[in-house]
Amino acid sequence: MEEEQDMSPDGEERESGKLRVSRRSFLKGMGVSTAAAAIAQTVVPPLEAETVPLVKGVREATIITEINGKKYRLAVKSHWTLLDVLRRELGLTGTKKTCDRSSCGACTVIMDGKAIYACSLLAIEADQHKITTIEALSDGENLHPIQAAFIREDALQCGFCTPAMIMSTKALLDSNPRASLIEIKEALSGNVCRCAAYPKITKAVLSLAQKA
Amino acid sequence: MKPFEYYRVTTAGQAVALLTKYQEKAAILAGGSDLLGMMKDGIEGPALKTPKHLIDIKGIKDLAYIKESPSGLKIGAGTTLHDIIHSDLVDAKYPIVGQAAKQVAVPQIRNVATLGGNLCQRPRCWYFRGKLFSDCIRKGGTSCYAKEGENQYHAIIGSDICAMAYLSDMAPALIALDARAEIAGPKGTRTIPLEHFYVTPETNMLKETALTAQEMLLAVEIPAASQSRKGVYLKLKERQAFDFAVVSAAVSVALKGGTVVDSRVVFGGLAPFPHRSLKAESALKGRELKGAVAAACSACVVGAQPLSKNAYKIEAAKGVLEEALNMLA
Amino acid sequence: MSSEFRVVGKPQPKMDAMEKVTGRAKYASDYVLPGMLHLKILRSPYPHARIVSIDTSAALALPGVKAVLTHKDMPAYRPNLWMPLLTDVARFVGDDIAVVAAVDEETAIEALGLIKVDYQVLPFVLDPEEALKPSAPKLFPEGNLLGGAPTVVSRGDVEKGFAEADVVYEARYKTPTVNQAPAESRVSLAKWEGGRLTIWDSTQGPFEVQKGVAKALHIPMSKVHVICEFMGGGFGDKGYPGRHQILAALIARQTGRPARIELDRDEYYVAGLRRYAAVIDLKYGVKKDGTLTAIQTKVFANSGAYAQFALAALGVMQVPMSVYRCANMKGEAYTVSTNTPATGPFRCVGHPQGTFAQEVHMDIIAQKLGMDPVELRLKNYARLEDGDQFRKIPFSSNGMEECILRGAEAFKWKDRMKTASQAGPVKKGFGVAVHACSHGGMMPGMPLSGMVKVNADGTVNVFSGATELGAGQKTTMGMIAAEELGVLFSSVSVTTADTDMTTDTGATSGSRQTITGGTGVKMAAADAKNQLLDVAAVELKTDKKNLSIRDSVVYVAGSDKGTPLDQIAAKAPGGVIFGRGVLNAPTNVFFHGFAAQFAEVEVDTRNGHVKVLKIVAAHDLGRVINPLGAENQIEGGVIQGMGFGVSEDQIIDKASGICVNPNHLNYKMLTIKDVPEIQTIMVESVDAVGPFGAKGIGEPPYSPPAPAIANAIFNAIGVRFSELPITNRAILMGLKAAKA
Repeated sequence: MEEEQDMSPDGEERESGKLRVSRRSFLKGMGVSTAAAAIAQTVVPPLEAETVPLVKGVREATIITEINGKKYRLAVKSHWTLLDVLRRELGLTGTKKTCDRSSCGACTVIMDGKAIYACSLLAIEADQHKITTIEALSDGENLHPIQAAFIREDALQCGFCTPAMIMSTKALLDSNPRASLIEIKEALSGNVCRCAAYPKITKAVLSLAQKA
Repeated sequence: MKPFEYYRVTTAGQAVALLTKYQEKAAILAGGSDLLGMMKDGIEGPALKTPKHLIDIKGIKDLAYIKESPSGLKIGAGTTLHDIIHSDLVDAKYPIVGQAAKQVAVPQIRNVATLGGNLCQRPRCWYFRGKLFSDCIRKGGTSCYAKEGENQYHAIIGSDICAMAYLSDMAPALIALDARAEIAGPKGTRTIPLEHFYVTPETNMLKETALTAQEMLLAVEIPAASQSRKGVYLKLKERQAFDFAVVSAAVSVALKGGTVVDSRVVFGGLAPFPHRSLKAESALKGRELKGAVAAACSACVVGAQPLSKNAYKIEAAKGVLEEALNMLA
Repeated sequence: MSSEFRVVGKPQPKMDAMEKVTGRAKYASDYVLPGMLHLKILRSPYPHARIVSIDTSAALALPGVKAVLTHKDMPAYRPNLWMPLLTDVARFVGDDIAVVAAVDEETAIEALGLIKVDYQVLPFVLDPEEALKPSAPKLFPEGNLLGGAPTVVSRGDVEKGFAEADVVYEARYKTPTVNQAPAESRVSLAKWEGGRLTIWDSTQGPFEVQKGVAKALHIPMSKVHVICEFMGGGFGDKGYPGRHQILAALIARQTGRPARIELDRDEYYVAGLRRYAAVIDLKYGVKKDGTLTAIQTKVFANSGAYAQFALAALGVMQVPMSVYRCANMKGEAYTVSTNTPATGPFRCVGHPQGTFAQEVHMDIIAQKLGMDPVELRLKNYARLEDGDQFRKIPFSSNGMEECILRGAEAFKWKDRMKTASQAGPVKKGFGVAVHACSHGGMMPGMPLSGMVKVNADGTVNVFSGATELGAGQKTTMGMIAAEELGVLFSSVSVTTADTDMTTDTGATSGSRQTITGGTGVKMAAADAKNQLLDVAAVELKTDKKNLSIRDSVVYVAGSDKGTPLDQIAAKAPGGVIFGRGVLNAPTNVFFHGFAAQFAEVEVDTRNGHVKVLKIVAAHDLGRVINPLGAENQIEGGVIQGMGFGVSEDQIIDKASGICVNPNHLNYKMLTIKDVPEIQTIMVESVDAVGPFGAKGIGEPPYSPPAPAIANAIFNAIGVRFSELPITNRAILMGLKAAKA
């Protein structure tokens, strides 16, 4: 059993960038230190950990998820992301992959009313949840007002980030229809537009918020 | 990503049981924005392997909550940053916590990211996160590439062994409120000051927190006494979204008239752990806040040892602290 | 001016906006074909290494792997002079060593790990000045200086010019390596069927890809069909065939299965072409009254392992040698290979670097002379009669003065300089920068064409080889054709970037398509109109010269009653009205993107943070075809250019040659929260060459923001920055040094 670790200098200031290690020994690479009981720790009776049966792990599972109002029963591998499943398994290619690392926003979808990055949700985590992608917003030529505003205000250039930008806008306006300029910028701050159509995007969303 | 076993647990005990069995081969899956990114990048080293067992804790009912009691506020580790931001309770009584949460990343991440995930995040050092930099000491290798390398974002304090800068936003803010961390392990739960939750590289260069491989963070408790202090969390960023802190400061002061009775000054981005500046705190103690700003700013960087490209952090730390103290004065 | 037009000059939403906002637009990365193979590249972990041996047998044996190719399997074709398809000498970390094709991506990745490469690690060099030293490791036998000698351009006598000057000032400027980082990666899907290759590609140059693939595979161009209906940005990286399209084509042919390649984002950061880092030495001589007497420049371009252009450094030199008039000029340009990723165009070649250097240099000179920086520009800018002194061609239009004056007026330049506030830790500042370089244009022998078809119902199809990059090329082609023909814009459909269905009009780069593709469709529309009027003359029993078409109605002079166009089109002999536009330019014609930008910034001296509050961007477009699209381009270019100035930098670890920030978190592109207020002013100088007097607008807005911001920062805090990006750490260190 690993020993408790007492990490604090316990009120000692670090001097000259060096930690004064007077009360513990340093074992390179081992991460174990002699316990010093100076820090008060509250210990309560053990959780049922020792008697709890181990939960079974899975490498694949069948999930039930509602996507764009339709219920799906999907066989997914545990290491697939929601983005993989949307694009590859379901052919919903409106949601894009640009960075695949939660740092650009191109994969934004709405889950249970909130904008999230599909690239950092495992598909298996979408079980029992409601997902909305860009494909839900239009019906043939009938466009969602956000889409119409984006066209009217030319709030796009290459269009690759546009579906995600629209989903972030929808998540915002669904919960805050009269969003202020600052709130709009905050809500869209997680959507990078490399073409930098930001001024017209802002104008389009503001026009919707001001009409509400 | 490479395949792994996925576990959906409904109690902390189940999570701990799995951690006890699989230890370093297991990882907690909360929001996933840090963990999945590292797994996709395949970050490995002699002492760091991609986890093969992911324990999804979102199904644990009593892990996401914000509860008030006479002794203070308790926030479950599974609480999303979104919920912390929208909590009237946090906003009214411990606003510095909401300020910090608001500045993390972007809305899409805040919607799923948890308090626990933010407090247990792994370093952002681009050598640690760089697959080709396999000899990184924090991954079990033998050297710190940042020391002589591209260290513009690295530490100016405590960087002898490992120069990474710890960039959690929630940690400095909560440490400034004297928060405590409740940890669950196979032997039960233990609670330690959040300040001691973080370890120095000298103590353990392979991890950032005091958690053993069998433990998980359950909750953070904030003592009611800290409500009496005024606080602010400032984060210097290059871009106004996505970015981790260049330097951040959580400052919490108890004032009587204009005099500082007590204070906490905690920095992110200066050291491999949230750095509490006792020197700045003593420069403030017993003095009129307005008049003590300059002294506190000079004090907070005493002993800093900048690397070749990060001497600016000395100025930045002083500047951020100056702005924070002036806001509280 | 624009009121004489029916279509040109009216704001037009993008023709393809519906597909984009609904998510229905299919980009190359969205296509899926049954049996598709996934390609993955094995990349060198070393900045310089010879491949002694490479064993692919274990990879080939992995179930699901259908092909593994190395340099031994490659045809002789090279995407550029120096870049082999797969290399036997790794010349940068990330260089392409082998390609695996497997039934899915996970298998392909696993196979990469099974390829055994024996590398002989070689010494490497990362800095261009180091690379020029005789002792430096050589990337190629010819040495690291491309061309073997610097390119020298001169006019007049600089030494005489310096002798005449009252003030001589010299300084060095540095700009970083930056990445186009478009939203869509490099991606290609190649299908080989019945001797014919179809490639869905994310490209700016479908015909360039067609030519490259045909050449590499030794197959006729007619058997290569490249399609690019939607693409997620390029900004210069995708104008030429790269390794990936050729590899996909080779594997598609070899295996008989569709082959898909998409670079992961961290690969994108090192593969492909990025903007070269530049070191620029400027020495200028001026008289007391501000007249420039001598301009001397020396440029070192770090063109990486494989330069798209042997004379890339000339692009920088163009700036000092053409923006201002000066009798005495000399420039020396060194394009230098180093063991860093390859370089090529990014919203211009060399202008952003050169404009930063020159416009800061001019600001310093203004300061030394005690002269208003705007006055200094007005004194020296090259006038219409001066012509382009670098290319030695006349200006086909010149709206520089109007840009400067209208921009200064809108920015309230005179007033703002007086009211700059200096109390407190946050300081405001105001700066200016101009731009005037040549961009893409027409050259003898360069493809320039377009086609127009009028249907029996009077509606119109336009065909152009231009690519819709997001700048609105499709809509612009449609508007030009509609204007020329006299039809309603709503009756026009445009097909672009399909090598089967459209004709080559050059790659969509260099801001050229308004002029080149635009001229092609305008000529085709004129041809179609001529044929229509021939029919109308017969149908309406009048002379052709009495006829006109307006809003899809044919009018006879002197009568208000018109004949709807469908009645005429339906009578076309053979049932076809088909217009053809082709031009072989008699001489080189380059348009010039005159511009003046003004920046207002706020600098927080406590933490070094720079907030850009406002940018006024005055641009000469010749004639605005689509004011909505043009404004979008200006705004987008300004914001991207601001990123070049304050936050973007591809950083290489010096000890290992490894890029430390090949990702969107640490390579910092601006977000919506970072964007200033932008006011655009569009000047119409009515170009002598461009269709309806129009010029391009894609690149010009990108160059001025960085220097305008740098100059504004100086105005705010009295600290000069001669290196980009100007990050908050640069500000803090600059302030500290100034205090000392």
